[in-house]
Amino acid sequence: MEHYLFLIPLFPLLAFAINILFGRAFIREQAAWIAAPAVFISWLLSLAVLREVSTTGEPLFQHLFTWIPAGPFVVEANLYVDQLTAVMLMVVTTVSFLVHVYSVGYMRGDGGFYRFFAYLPLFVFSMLMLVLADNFLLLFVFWEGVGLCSYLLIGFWFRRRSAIMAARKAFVVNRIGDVGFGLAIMWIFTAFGTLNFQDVFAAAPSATVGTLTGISLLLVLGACGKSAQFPLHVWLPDAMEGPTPVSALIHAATMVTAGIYLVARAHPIVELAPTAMVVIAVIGGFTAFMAATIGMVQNDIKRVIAYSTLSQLGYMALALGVGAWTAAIFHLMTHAFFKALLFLGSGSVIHGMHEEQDIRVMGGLRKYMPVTFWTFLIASFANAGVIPFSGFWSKDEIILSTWVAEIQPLGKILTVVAIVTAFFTALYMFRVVFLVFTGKERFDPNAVRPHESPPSMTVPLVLLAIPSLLIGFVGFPPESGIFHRFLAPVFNVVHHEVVQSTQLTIAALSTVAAVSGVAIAYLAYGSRVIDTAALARRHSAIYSFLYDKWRWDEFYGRVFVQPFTNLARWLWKVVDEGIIDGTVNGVAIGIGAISQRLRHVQTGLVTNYALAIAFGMVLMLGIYLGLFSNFFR
Amino acid sequence: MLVDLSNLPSPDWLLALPQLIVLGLAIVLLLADAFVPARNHYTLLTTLSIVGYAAAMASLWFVDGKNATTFWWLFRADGLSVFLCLAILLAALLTIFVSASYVDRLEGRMPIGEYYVLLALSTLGALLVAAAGDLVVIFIGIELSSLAVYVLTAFAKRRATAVEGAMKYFLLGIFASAILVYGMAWIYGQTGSTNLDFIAQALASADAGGSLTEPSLLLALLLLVVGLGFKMAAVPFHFWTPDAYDGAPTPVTAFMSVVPKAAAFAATIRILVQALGPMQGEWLNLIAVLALLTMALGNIVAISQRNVKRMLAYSSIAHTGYIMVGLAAYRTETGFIGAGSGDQGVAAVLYYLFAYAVMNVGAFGLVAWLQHRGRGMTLDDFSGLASSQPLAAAAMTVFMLSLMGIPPTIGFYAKYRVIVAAIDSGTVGLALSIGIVVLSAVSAFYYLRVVAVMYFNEPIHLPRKTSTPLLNVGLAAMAIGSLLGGVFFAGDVFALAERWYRALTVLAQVGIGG
Repeated sequence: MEHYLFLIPLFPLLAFAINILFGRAFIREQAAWIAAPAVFISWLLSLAVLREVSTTGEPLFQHLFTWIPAGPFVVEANLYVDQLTAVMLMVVTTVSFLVHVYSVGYMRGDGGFYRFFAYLPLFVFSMLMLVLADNFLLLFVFWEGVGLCSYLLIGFWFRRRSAIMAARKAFVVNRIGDVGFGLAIMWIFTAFGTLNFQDVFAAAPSATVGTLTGISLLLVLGACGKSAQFPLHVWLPDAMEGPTPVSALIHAATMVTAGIYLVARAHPIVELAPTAMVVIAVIGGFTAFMAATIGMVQNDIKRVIAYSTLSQLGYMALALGVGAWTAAIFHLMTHAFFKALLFLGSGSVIHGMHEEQDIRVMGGLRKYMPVTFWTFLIASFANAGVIPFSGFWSKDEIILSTWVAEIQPLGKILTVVAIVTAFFTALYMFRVVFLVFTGKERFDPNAVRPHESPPSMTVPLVLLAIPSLLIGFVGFPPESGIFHRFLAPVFNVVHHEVVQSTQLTIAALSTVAAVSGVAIAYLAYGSRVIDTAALARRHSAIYSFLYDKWRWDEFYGRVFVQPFTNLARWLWKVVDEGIIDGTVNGVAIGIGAISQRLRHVQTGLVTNYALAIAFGMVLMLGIYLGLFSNFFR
Repeated sequence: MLVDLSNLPSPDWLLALPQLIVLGLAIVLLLADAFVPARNHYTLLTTLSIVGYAAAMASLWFVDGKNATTFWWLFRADGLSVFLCLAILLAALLTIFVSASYVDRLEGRMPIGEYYVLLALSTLGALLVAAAGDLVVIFIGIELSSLAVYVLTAFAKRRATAVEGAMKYFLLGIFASAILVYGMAWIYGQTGSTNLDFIAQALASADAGGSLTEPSLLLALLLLVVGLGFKMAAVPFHFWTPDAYDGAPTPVTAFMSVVPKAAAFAATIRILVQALGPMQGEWLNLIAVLALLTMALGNIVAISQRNVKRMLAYSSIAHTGYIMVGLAAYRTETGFIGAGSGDQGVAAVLYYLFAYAVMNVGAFGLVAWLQHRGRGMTLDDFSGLASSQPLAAAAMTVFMLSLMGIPPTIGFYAKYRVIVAAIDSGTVGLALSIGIVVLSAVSAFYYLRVVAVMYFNEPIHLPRKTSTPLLNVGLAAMAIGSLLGGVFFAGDVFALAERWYRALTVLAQVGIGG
């Protein structure tokens, strides 16, 4: 298998090339038949790789070519598969393939059908290369590659102004993180003289804490951009302007987890920088909490799930911050399945409701779209962290790791935050479930006829519901499941000596939080015992603060965007047009004027010309004889 | 200075082979004009001229590397003379291509035989200056070259502007010649010789005695600079240039913008570098100031010209300025005699003259090409040329870019050599190179305006259909040469130019003085 690693990313790349070159003219509606099989082959190959890695326990390696041979700066294009990469390959190819199948139904009839099925495999290719890369620079290239695909797919409906603005926002915000990542790569090369993962990690312990902290913080900045963590989280909710399958694949399951993957991959550096760890933990906990509170009051179904994604990514970041690498990847995996399912389910709802996204005008959809309802329900339980759904196991492990983390008392505080967030998570998740699928129909039945989606969309839902329900058991019992044993060679897991009672207490607490969240959601949106409207009126300040997403966009707009725009405008109007253009044009006008003046010296009279010669000569004579000769001395 | 004549050596005629061939050409043309039937004149005389100049160029191969002198040091065949002869003969040859059909068909059918004879005589004069070892030969050569061009300027004698331009040129020309010869007289008076090497020797000893600031020497220097400045069209002695260039038939303008200018620079190098080398402390800064004035005025006034021929006249003044920068960059402590590879200034001047011959004759040639097709010489006549005559527009674009100095044209390399030499020569040179660069930017305006008018404006009137095969061949050759010559032949040509200093030292040969 080692010599065939390159085939995994190759097939999606070929699919992209074929569809982008011939899609418009020849392939058109058949583009999915090129893209989906290609990704399926990648999935099969990934499966083979997973099997090989799990049996031998040895990493796979393939040298492709030497990319940059420039003196001491050598960058190889190598593929590298260890247990972490194998997990990522499985997650990426599984979700990608199901999303491809789903999109056949969802994107039917769209004018950009071929374009969609060109960008999507391109994304799969970039994402696979990102996890296969064996050095920082190659990873960075495909980090940018997935960013490009994200940009293209957010702005897929480019005639819609909001889509363009969202794509641009995602691009610009990600640039900030990418600058951090880029600087981190430069620093790594200066400090270690290589960019290869294994060499860098081997040399990491010999570096100073300052260097490691600096590199780690810059990497974290990059990760914050890609994984939409505070303070660079603002782009992800807007990214929902893209088609829903894109939100599922790129902005929930895979690309946004690249930041988590990066930090986990670089854990030998990061774990030597305690300050950076604290920063990650705080950012993660804060983002998880903030996003969950915002998610409670949003009315757009995709936005709720988008904030849920932010929140869950926050959990992963929290896990990274407390050194629970395996738990972070575990949650990454479970989240990929149930969050993709949530997005695809919401896509199915939107599809069935004729492109309606506002949950306030839905209701009672359960009887119209049963498959969507049941799969969505499973995903919601998983997301809410209700035992025994997959999300419970991974989230519980994160909370437990936080409780016993070395950083105290911060660990205890973050544990409380995480449990409170779990409550909010269940609340917002089941708010959606109750508002969308139960109760009265709040839409006009004459105008909208909800219907179940075609099989190409419901089959992927069912297929995703299985792992959403069951995948958590690979992590059972906590900290010593199959999953942990599998990843042990990568992460050198330190077993927390946790008393059984603590473990059970934490599990019980998070379950209570989740269940009470579900219960309150039922009271408020199911049985309508709690009057939410009155509540919102009574606490209108808090409500509107949450509804306005903590007003980060406004804050950034006032503090960064507006001053920057003003500066740019000043540079444009005053410096460029005023000073620079003024100088250039002024000189040109001046020379033109001088030219007009001087041409009149050419009088056409030969006597004037002779006079000029004589005058010039006399002038020269005067100067020379007066200054340079001994004539007057 | 007494020389033993008991063993009178016979002159080494072979050294003067190029000059003799051109002289022979002039005589043959004169005879053929008189005795061959008029209907054969065009073909026969044109062929004769082309063969003659080509043969003269080929004969340079025999002269190259001889580094000898004959006629009692009046005539020199050194590296400088070989390169200058090459540039002058090339310009003359290209002029034939530009002239033939013009003289035959336009401006009321001018007598082509006389035209070619005068062209040959003017060329001969320039060749003599290039090979001169004595002030007298320089003067004779310049006068021969100038007198023929005075006549050529007035060659379209029915047109008043031609006669007016020629008259101005002639009057001012003799004025300048008088000044030049007066300067030569002062030099002779102070050094006792008209031989360039002997003058240098005398001045070197004067330098040793600290008497170079003697007013009479400075007076001589200034008179010479004024006379030469007039011939090369340096500011403020340039006033004749626009009127004469504008009045003369276009091929004559092409010729006079190159060959007499080359003769003037040849004379300047011979006189200032070779003879007055020890006085370089006195003349270098003077040349630098004149160079700056010349390129500034040429470029700035060119902007307000709407007549392309007149614009090119001012452009040629500007180029005189650029070339003078090379001269001002001359740096050799010991003067011509000991000149070594340390100096790049004169080599840059020579290379520039060569490049200038190709691109400037080409630019004027294209004006002539348009005149053949019933158009005038203003910018409007160029408008929309690209849509009806794409190749002509492309050729003109190449000439304009080359004159502007855009890589990879030959004009760029010429300017580059001058700038390199100037920067190496010191602070004044650095200032001059900045001047070149800034004023080149100014020049872009009027050169590119021609290109813009050709490509972006609508054609005002369609050109008359006519066939000018010889002119087309010449223009194509010059366009290709301007475009690629800098890339493919620049090294060889510049290597030849750099051999200018391999000049023999007459003094050492005859054992007089040092």
